Amino acid sequence: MIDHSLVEMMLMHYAAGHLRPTEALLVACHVALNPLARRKLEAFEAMGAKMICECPEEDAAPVSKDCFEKVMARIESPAPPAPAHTPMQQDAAIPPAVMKLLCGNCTERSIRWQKLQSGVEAVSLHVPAGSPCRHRLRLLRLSPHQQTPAHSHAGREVTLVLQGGFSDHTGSYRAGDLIVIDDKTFVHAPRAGADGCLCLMLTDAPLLFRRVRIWFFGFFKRV
Amino acid sequence: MIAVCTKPCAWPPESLAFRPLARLKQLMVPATPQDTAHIPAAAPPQTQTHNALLAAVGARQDRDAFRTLFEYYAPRLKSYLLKNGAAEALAEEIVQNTFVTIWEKAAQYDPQKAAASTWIFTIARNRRIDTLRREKYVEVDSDNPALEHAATTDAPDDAYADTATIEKLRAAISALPEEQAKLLRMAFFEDKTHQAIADETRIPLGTVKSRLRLALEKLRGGFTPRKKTEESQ
Repeated sequence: MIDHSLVEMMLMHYAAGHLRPTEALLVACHVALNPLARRKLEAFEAMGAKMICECPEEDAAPVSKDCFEKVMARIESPAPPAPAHTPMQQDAAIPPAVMKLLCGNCTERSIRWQKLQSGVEAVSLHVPAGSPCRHRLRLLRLSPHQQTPAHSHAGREVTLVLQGGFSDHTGSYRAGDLIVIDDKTFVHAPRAGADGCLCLMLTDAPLLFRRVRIWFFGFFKRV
Repeated sequence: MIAVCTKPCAWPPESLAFRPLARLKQLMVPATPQDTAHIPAAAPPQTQTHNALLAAVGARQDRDAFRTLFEYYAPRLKSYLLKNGAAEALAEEIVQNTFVTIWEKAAQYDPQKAAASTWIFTIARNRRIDTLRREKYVEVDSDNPALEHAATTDAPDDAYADTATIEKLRAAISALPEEQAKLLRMAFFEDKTHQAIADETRIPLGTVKSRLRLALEKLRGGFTPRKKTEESQ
C-alpha cells in the first residue's frame, strides 16, 4: 500500500534538516510545485522555531563575548558576490536544481534520453555528494497513456511528478505530487495520463519486474 | 572494476519505516513515568516584536534591532546546534554564519509570509548543513512563477486555498499528548535516531516509532485530506 503519511515524515525531516541531499532535492522540488506541501513545510518549520524559542533560559548556550563583533566585522568586510539566481523558464518542467545534476550543459531539449522500451525513456542524474551510495536519481518520461510493466520495489522509491501525471490502482497523481513507496509487497503498473508523464525518481534498490524477460532487460539497463 | 560500497546506508531512515505491529505493541505498553515529563512551557515569544525588529534590519540596516535579535536567538540557536551534535567551536561558527546571512537577506524578509523566528530557524538549519557538509542544502525555490503557475492552474483544490492551515497544524502540535510531543521534539529538535530516543527514555523502540507515527498522523489530520488519492483507494 502507498502510505501517504511517509510524505509528511519526509517534510518533517526536511524541516529539521535531517535529509540527505538526494531526498532534500525531491522534497524541495515537491514543495516548490505544491502549495499545500509548502504550507505543511512552513508549519513544521514554525514548529522548529517554536522549539527554539521555548528553550528554557538555563538551557540556552551563551555565545562567546566577541561573537557579535565577529559577525559585524564579517558584515562590514566586502562580501563575495552572491551566485546568480537562475529563474526557471516559463515553459520548463524540470526545476533548475535538477537540471544541474544532468551531465554536461544540456538544456531540457538536448537531454539524451535512454529508451528503455517503446514510450518509456529515462536519464540518470548525478547523485549529489553526501548521499548514500545506493541512491539513484533519474528522470523518467512516459508517452501519453503508456503503461509501464508491473513491478515491485526491492527498496524505497520516492517519485515526484514534474509534468503530466500517472495513475495506478491506488489512485491518480499529478504534477507536484510526491509518492513514497516503501513496501516490498506492493506491486503496481502505473499508466501515464493523457499528457504523458515526466517524473523524478529516487530509488535505493532496483525495481523488480514481474516478467523475467523484462526484468533481464531492465537489469542490463539498470532500471 | 567493481566498486564495493562499505559505508552503511542511511536510507531508509528509521523514522520512515512502516511497522504495523508497533501500533499493537504501543497499545500494550503502559506509559512510563519519564513519558509524561513536562516540557517547560515558556512564555510565548514576542512574535510581533521580533517581526518588527527583523523588518527594521531589512528596511534600514538597524544595528540595534540586529543586536537585540542576536542576543535573543544566538544562545538559543547555539543550544540547538550543540544538541544536534555540533562541537562548541563549530556551533559558534554556524551561529556567526547564520547571523551574517540574516543581515544579508533581511531585506527579503516579509512579515506577512513568516514569523521572524521561523525565518531565522530555516536560515540556521540551512547554514548548519552547509557548514557541516560543505555542500549547500537544497533550498526551496520560493519565487518561481512558472512552478506557481503550474501548481495553481493544476490544483483547484480548496485544500490549498485554506490559509489557516499553518494555524491548524500549530494547534494540532500543541494538542498532542505529552508523550508524543516529547518524542517528536527529540526526533525533530535534537536529531536523535529512534534508537537513541528509545535508550534515553527507556521506551521500547517499537513504541517510540508508533508514537511518532501517531503524532504525525494527528498532525496530518490538521490538513484537508488528499481527496483524490484516498477516495480512490
